[in-house]
Amino acid sequence: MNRLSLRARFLLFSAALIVAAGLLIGGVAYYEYREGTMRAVDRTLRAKANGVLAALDDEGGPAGLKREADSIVGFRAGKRSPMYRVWRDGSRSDLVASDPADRDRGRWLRDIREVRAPDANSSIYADIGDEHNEFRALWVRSRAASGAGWNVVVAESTHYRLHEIGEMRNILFGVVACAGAVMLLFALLAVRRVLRPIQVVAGHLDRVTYRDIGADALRDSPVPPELRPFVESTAKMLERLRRAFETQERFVADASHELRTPLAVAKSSLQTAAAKGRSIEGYERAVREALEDLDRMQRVIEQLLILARLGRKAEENEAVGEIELEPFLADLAERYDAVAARGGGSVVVGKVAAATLLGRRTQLERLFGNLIENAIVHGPPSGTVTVEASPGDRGDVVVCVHDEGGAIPPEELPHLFDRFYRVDRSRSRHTGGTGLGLAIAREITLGHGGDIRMESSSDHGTCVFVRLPRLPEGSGRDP
Amino acid sequence: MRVLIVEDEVRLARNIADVLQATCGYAVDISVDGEDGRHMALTNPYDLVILDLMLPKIGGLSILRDLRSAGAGVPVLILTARDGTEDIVQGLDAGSDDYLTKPFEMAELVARCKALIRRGYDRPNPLIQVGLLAVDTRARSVQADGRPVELTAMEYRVLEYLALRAGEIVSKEDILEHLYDFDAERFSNVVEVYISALRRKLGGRQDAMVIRTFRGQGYRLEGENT
Repeated sequence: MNRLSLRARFLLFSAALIVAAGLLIGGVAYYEYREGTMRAVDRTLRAKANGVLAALDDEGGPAGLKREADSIVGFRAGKRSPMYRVWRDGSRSDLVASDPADRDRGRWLRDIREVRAPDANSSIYADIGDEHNEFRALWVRSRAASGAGWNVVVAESTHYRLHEIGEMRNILFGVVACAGAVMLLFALLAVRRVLRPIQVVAGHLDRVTYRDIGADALRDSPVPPELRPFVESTAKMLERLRRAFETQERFVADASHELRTPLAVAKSSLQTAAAKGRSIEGYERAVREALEDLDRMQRVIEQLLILARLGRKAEENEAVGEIELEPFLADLAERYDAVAARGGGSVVVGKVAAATLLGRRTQLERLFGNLIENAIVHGPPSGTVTVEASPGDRGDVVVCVHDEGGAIPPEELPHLFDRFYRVDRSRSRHTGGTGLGLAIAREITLGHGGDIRMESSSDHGTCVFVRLPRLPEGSGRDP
Repeated sequence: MRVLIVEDEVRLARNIADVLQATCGYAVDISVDGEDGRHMALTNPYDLVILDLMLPKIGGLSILRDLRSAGAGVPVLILTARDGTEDIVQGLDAGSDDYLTKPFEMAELVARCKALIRRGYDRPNPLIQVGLLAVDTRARSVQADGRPVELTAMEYRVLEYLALRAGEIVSKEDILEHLYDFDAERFSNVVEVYISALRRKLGGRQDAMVIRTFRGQGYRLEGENT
C-alpha cells in the first residue's frame, strides 16, 4: 500500500466511497419504489375483496351477483384483466367466478388453494399465474352470520407493474452510475488541486541552491493551512543551512585572509631582495623574514587542521579516558612555567579540587595549554599565571586560568572565542597568535560537554573559566 | 613624489617602501595603524596613498571616506587580502582609485603606483614633453633638445615634479613636501641649489625650456608649447 501514490490512494478511497454510497442510495430507492407499487396493488385488492364480500349480502341472485362483482373487480375481456372467484367453505364449486375453472386464468385462481388457506375472518396475499402472466391475489375468508364462511379470491395482473419496476431499476442503475462517474471525476480534480501545493513547494525546493536558499519564497508560496507546518519547518531548515553556509564562507574568507597576508609579506621580502643587488646581509634578512612568514602560515594551517579534526565524528577521535585533574594540571603548569620563565613570568597551580575527568587527554592538554599560553602572552610581562579548580554546583568542576592582564572591553568578551577574532590584531601578530587558539579551546570544551567563558576587569585581571563534567564516583569527596 | 603606506604588516610596508624608493625615487612614509595613518593622510600633501583595509583602531575604508569627505583628491590604492567582488566594489565605491589583492607582484604594484600618480597630475602619458625638454618617467631619463642629460636622483625628482605641474607656479614648500618623507631633515635653501643645478645642466636654448623664478611664489617650468 505504501508504494501506491498518494493520488492513487486518494482515488481508490473515494471510488470505494462513491460506489458504496451509490449502491446504498440506489438500493433504497429501488426497494421503496417496488414496495410502494406493490402496496398500492395490495390496497386495491383489499378494497375490491371487501366490495365483493359486501355484494354477497345483496339479494340479486347469482346473475346479479356476477354483474355486481364484475363491475367491482373491474373485470373485462382480456388476458390481463382482474379476476375473482367466490365460494362457500366446504363447497367444491364456485358461487360466482370471473373465469371458468377449466381455463388458464380459472386454473390459476384455483391453484391458490395450494397456498395455505387463511384462518376464518382473515386473509392472505399470494402471487399466482405463470412467468408471462403474473398476478397478485388476495384470498379473504369471512365467517358469515349463517354459519359457513365465504371465500373470496381477487387477483390483479402485476405484469405491467413488474415491468415498470424493472425499468425503474435500470434507470436508477444508470443514474447512480453516471453520478458516480461524475463524482469520481470531481474527486480526481480535487485530488489534483489538493496535491498542487505540494508540487509548488517541490518546485521551490528544486530551485534551492547553495547560492540561493530561497526560504522566503518558500514561505510565501500559497499552501493550505494543513501544509503550513511542513513548509514552515522546511523554511526553518533552509535558514539553518544558509546560516551554516555563511559561517563556513566567512571562515574560509578569514582563513584565506590569514594565509594570504603572510604569503604577501614573504613574497614582497623575496621580490625586494631579488629586485636589486643586495648585500649578503640583505639577502640573509630577506630569507630569514620569509622563513618567519612561512612559519606563521604553517601555524595557521596546523591550527585550522586541529579545528577541522575536532569537528569529526567522535569515533574517529582519540579514545576517552579517566584523567586525575590535580596531577594533570600540575604537569601542564610545570611545562608552561618553563615557557613563561623566558619572559620572566611564571605559571603556578593554586587550589585544585580533587576530581576525575572523563576526557581525551591530548585534547584537554591542548585546551589548557592554549589558555595558559594565551595568559602568558596577554598578561603583563613577568606576570604570574594561576591555574585553579573548584567544584561546580552541578556535579562538574570549574577550572580557572587567571592572568594579571588588564581589562578586555566587555563588548569584546563574547567574540573572543570566535575564529580569527582578535582584540588587537597587530599585537597578536607580534606574539605569533593565529586567532584560532581560543576557538580551538571552545571547540574542545564543547566536545567534552562543558562550556567556557571569560571574565576581565582591571582590578582582578582576566580569567577564563572552563566548566567540565566530572566522574561522580571520583577520587573522593570535595575538600 | 611622496607616498604614504598605511599597512599594519610592518615588514610588507617596509618592503614596498624600499622598492618605491629604489625604483621610482619616491619619498615614502609608513603608518602601521589606522588612527596614525588617517592623521598623516589628512595633514600631508601625498601624491599617492597605499591603504590596507583591515587596520588596527580605524579601518581602511573609514580612512578613505574621511579623506574624500575632507576633499582630498589624492589617488588611493587599496592593498588588501580581501578579494571578494563585494569588497572590491565597496572599496572602489568608497572613493579608491585602484584595488590590488595580496599576495601581489611587486612590479605590478610599482607600475600601478606610477600610473596613479601620473593620472593624479592629469598626465596619462609616461613621457612628459615640455617644449624641447622630454622627461621619461619610465626610464627616469631626461633629454634636452634631443641631448641626454645626466641628473642626480634628487635633481631628477625636482624636475619630474616641475614637469608634472608644467605651466603652473610651484611653491618651494610644495617641492620640499613632495620630495622628502616625514623624517627627512629639510634645509630651506636646498631647493634653490637643485634649481640652479638643473638650469646649468639643461642649458641650451633658454627660451625653449626655462625654469622661471617668481619671487615670493615659486618656480614655473615653461616651454614653447606650454
